[in-house]
Amino acid sequence: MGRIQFLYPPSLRELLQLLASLPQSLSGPPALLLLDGLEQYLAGCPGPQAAARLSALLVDTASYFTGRLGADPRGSAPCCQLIASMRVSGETEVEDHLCILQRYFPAQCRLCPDSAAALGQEDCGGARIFRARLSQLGALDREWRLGFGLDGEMRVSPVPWGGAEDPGAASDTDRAAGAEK
Amino acid sequence: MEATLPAVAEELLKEIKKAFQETSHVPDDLLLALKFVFGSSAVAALDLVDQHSVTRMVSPSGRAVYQVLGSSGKPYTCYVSCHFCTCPAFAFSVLRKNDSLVCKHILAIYLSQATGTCQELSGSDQQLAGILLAEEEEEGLGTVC
Repeated sequence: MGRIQFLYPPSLRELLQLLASLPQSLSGPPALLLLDGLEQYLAGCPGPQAAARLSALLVDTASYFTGRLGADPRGSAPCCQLIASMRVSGETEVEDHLCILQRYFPAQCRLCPDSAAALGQEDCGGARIFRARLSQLGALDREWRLGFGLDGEMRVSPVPWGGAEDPGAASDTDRAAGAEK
Repeated sequence: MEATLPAVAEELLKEIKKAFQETSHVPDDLLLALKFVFGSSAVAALDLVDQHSVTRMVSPSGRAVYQVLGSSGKPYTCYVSCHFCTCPAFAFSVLRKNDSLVCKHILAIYLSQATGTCQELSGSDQQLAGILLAEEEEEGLGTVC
């Protein structure tokens, strides 16, 4: 945990400023940039170009750090990964920005409650079950079942090919476990 | 630029670079192909390259950004690693209508890289951060960029 730095930019403007000056803020290049709550920042975007700027600046920042990692012979990671998560709740403005996000994030993972478990069609022993589907350009979709037990343990199992279901429309409780570069 | 274009566009730019390295000019057949692939942005981008409008700024931390002077003299910011430009045409034709691959400024960057005509400039980390955050131009009727 000592190697993780948590930052809390309170607004879109401050997030953009943070990203633009991150090389000066961090002591060394990170192996991962993880942004949670992307929908909150997108809500502050007045239009598609602002959403594109946010996405592009995230990508550009990760790309810069990849260059730094590659140049460091002691570097342990080949590149700086970028993951952003967002909750999709049906708000039109945020939904409009999804097609912009797809330009900059070629891989997307959607996380939704498992429909069979939700309808009580399976005995899950009290565990919360989700379906995660990973979609990326040039590759077949892959899907997993994620179970969060009462003991807090997470169990992941792949869904066999042909057993994949449409994760379904997002609801207020869904969290799209966002985009990965 | 690190962002990817469709394979045909990538190959075309490689051909242009090769031809320019060998003959110091771009032959007509490649110019026609450029117009076919990129549409009306092609001629405008070539004009920008001719006018040496593309500048790459690098800061001491090694971060870089492009600035391209538009036809009106306004500088537009373009990112190095992915397609983004602050010009109205990028917002309208590329993002909203999705009928252009890139705007003329981004294409001018590709062409200046292929022809070795990109100017290089050094700036402070603060200057570069400011350019990265330069406000996008608002769309408007008759906006010239």
